[in-house]
Amino acid sequence: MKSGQSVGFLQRKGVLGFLFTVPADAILLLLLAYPFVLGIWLSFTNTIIGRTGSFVGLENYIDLFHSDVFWLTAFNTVVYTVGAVFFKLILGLGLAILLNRDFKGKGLMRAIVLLPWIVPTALSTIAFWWIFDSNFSCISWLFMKLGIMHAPINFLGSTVNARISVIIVNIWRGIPFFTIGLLAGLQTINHTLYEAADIDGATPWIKFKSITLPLLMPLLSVITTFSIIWTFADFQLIWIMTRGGPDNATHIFGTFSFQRAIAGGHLGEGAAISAFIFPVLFICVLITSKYLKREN
Amino acid sequence: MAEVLLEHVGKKFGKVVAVDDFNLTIYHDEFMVFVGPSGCGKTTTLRMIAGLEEITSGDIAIEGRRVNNVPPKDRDIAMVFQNYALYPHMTVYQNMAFGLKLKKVAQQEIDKRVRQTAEMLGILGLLKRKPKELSGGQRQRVALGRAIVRIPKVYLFDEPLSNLDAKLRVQMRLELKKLHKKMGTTSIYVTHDQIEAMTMGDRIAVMKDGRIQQVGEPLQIYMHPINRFVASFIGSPTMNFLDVHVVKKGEGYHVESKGFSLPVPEEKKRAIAPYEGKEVILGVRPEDLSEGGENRGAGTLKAHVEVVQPVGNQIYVDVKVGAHNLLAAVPPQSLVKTMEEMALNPRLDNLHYFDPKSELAIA
Repeated sequence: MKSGQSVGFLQRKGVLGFLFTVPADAILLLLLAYPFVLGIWLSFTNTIIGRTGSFVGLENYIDLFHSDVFWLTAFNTVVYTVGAVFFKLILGLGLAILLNRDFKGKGLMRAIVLLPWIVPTALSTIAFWWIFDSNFSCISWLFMKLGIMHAPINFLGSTVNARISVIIVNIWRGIPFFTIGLLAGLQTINHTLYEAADIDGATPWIKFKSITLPLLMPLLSVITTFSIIWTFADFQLIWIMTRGGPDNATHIFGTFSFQRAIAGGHLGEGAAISAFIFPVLFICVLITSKYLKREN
Repeated sequence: MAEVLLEHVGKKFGKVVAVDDFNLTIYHDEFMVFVGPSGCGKTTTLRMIAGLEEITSGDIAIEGRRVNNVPPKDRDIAMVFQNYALYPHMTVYQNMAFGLKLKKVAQQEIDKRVRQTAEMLGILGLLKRKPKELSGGQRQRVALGRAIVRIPKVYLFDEPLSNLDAKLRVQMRLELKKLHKKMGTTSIYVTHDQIEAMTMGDRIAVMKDGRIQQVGEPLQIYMHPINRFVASFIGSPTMNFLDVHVVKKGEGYHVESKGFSLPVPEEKKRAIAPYEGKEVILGVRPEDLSEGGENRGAGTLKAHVEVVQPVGNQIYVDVKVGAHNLLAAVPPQSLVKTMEEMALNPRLDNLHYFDPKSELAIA
């Protein structure tokens, strides 16, 4: 009798479904929502490591608005994100179109393209650190051997070079995501559309512009948004390569926040910096979901 | 207005021969149908004419011009695809205008042609819609419209009706035929459906394993199939085939098997003579087996009814004659019942005989 009742309760609409989602909800609450809310709270306090702070209102934010390094960081973050995502998109799309063609060994090539994505970023970035070393860089060595240059390039020592270098590494690491994602999208496009276009007299460029791109657009916008989010909130690549230097030229929100909060101990200020990541990402997601709704 | 000429055309995919030594002339304004089972090479042949598939050997000429290496857009053809291949992100109007725009036709002329064609096809009200907002039949019309606005020399149809439901297919069949009458443009039509082939084609090319088996007018092929394959492929329900023995009786010949003996008609006598004492394959169309109430003597088959399938205009009756299973199509008025005996009279003049080895018709 008792067990009969409990079955009835479980079978009530929504109850069982809710119970099934509880573990996942709990993990999300514990590991995402709690730190997020805690971060927001900390940004309104003057907490430093080892001492509970007190509520200071918007003081941390006002201080940041008067800090040159903060504005430089904001500028760097935008340059880093726009530069890297733009080239990842162009090169990733190009590579996807190439790999979508029929040729010998395309399976192997597709696997190779995935490598930068599979190798842990910390590991591959260390390799790039060596490639961009001021004394032992293999690129500098090659150019000097070829007689093109007489002194090694100061990749990570000058502000402009350092920015370009970290962007290049980010592009290298991020291309596979675009390529594999877009390749999957390309394969869903019915090939008879291209044949119909052949008969209609379309050139390869017109086929790309009038068929491939419009049909790839929904996927392209989702992939681009994801990439913007990840690039904007990047941390480990830059921390390993430059720690935000030289002269704060490669600091982005993630690294700057870490430096202030953990390395510098100012948890409140660090939390305030990282809070700036959130609205930008929120807008990104909003724009994409709006666009996708319209497409449907 | 164009003649399409295929001379010794062949196509290989690696080591697989898809089309072998294909020779055919499609005349001005003719409606030619390629029919055959899947994998027979009919679509490949059509795609070679379109220029979507390179040919391995031979020559293709359209209106006297060799087009082997001419790209599809310069062949002056239009193609209707099985899945319609409408550009999903474009409106009906844009779909129809796309090819004309690329040809740099003046905007005014494009507009005129698209509207005229849309009116002819009854899709004028759909011009602003996108393909996903259309029914299957409407998409089919748009695909047709996209081909028609180009005013091509040759229309190529790749199983255009196979995605439609049965009723709509019959309707579109008729409309396509009317359209062809009206425009009179050379058309090549690929289908696996023999009824579609029979009803639409001025001539039919029956294909199997990459080779043409027989080319001719629909009824000519139906009446005089050149081999067993064509005989079985054309005609519905399928022709019955029976292994029989040729014996001489008096002046004439009979074909015999356990349970029956049928006289060979006078005009087939000479052809069948060499087979005396040997096996041949007898072909009987179900519609050539009529129900005979009384025994009419020579040529009546005593049949045991196993299954009765009424289809409306006819009743298909599965019967056993001796050791053979046969299908007969009798009028709906017939009172034939399962497990009863019935008498069947084959129309002797319409019987077909095939060589058991080569499977060629004996005639």
